Amino acid sequence: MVRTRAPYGLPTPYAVGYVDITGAGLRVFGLFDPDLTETLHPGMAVELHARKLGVDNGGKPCLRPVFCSRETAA
Amino acid sequence: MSRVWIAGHGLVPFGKHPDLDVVALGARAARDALASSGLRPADIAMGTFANALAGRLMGALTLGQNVLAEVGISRIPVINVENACTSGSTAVHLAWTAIRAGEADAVIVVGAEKMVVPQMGLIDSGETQIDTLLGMVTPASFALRAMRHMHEFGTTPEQLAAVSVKNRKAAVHNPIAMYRKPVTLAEVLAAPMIADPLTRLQCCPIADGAAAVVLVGDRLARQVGAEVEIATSVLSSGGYEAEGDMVRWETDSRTARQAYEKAGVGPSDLDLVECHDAFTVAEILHYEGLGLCPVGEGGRFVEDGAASLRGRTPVNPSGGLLGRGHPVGATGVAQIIEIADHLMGRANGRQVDGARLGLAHCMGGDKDGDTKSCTIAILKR
Repeated sequence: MVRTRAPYGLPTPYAVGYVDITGAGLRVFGLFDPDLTETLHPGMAVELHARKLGVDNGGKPCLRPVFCSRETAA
Repeated sequence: MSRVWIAGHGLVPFGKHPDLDVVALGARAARDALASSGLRPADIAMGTFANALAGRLMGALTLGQNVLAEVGISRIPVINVENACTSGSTAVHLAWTAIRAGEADAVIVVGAEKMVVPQMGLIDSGETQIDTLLGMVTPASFALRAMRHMHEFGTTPEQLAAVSVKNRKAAVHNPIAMYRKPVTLAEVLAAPMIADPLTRLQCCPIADGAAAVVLVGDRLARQVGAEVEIATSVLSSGGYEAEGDMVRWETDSRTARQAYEKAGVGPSDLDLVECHDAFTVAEILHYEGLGLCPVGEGGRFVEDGAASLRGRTPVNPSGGLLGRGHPVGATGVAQIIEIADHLMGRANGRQVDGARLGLAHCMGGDKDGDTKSCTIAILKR
């Protein structure tokens, strides 16, 4: 959880981490749903969504891949 | 093949220097290094200059020639080096290889950085890395490692904080250190959180500063009476598979293994270590990567005092990046100077008694959960 000077217009705080993709043998880096920042823990089940979050290199709002809780993603 | 010796060095204290630009910082260190070496500008056959951020922050490029011209050195090969946090140690490595190869008798290495400027933000690995666009700033990459180390090995917040307490205590005795006041465990833990579990006092400060060394081959070493040798220098890059394991840093342990094999020594032979403690957890991981303790034991290693000045293997008696500060381009050169000072018995209040063999370790850049660059030099007297 990063609690200072978020880049690219991301909220403060924001959370990042590595996620193991079930059945694929992959571990990928990504952003987490800002609503999850205080409840994240190792081993938590998440799923990937596209969310409007922050800005791009040109300062324009953009979509980013975001890992969300399975329960709240819908 | 010539051996490589340290003939002289210069340092500009790490901290805030609003009156000096990066060229002036580098020139001051270079001038002092030349003077202490006993050599003249005309004796220098090559120069390497390390800087990581002037291009990004100030739009200033190819500064090595400017710095060396300020001290009367021109018409020689000059190499400008950007290799993230290992910029300085990479510049040392290039000088080392040139002398070893017989291409130069005397090389001046200068590292300088100016970071205390309004446009300085959190360091990341640049916009070309997709992780950066997903919020990967450098404190986050180490916070992830810390969280994993705590999860897997039971490392505690107090053990992480103990690294800061140790290094700030050491920095009290270092005249070039940015922070000369010690901190308590409670103060480290209560500082504002930057990236969980790393508080502000567990993140190295940005700084202005410069460091320079003059390295020479055997002939000039005899002439100037140089006594400290850089016996081995290794520069490596990552394998970029560290996402698989955030707490067993293969690049760290592989580079250390290469350095030990080349030098014919092992971790138990070392009298002191300077390592890249950009964050508290980094130093704990480097204890393990360098073989000072088993993997997973780094927290207990610092907690038990094994890394303290009078411990089994003193680590970062300079105060490290956490206490001395981290002007990126200068750090790797300053680590070499710190080891040399101990081997010469002139480190004063932070002296490791009887030191004869020391190791300087640096890491730089993030890529795919790994470091981009890792350097290790082993010095002996």
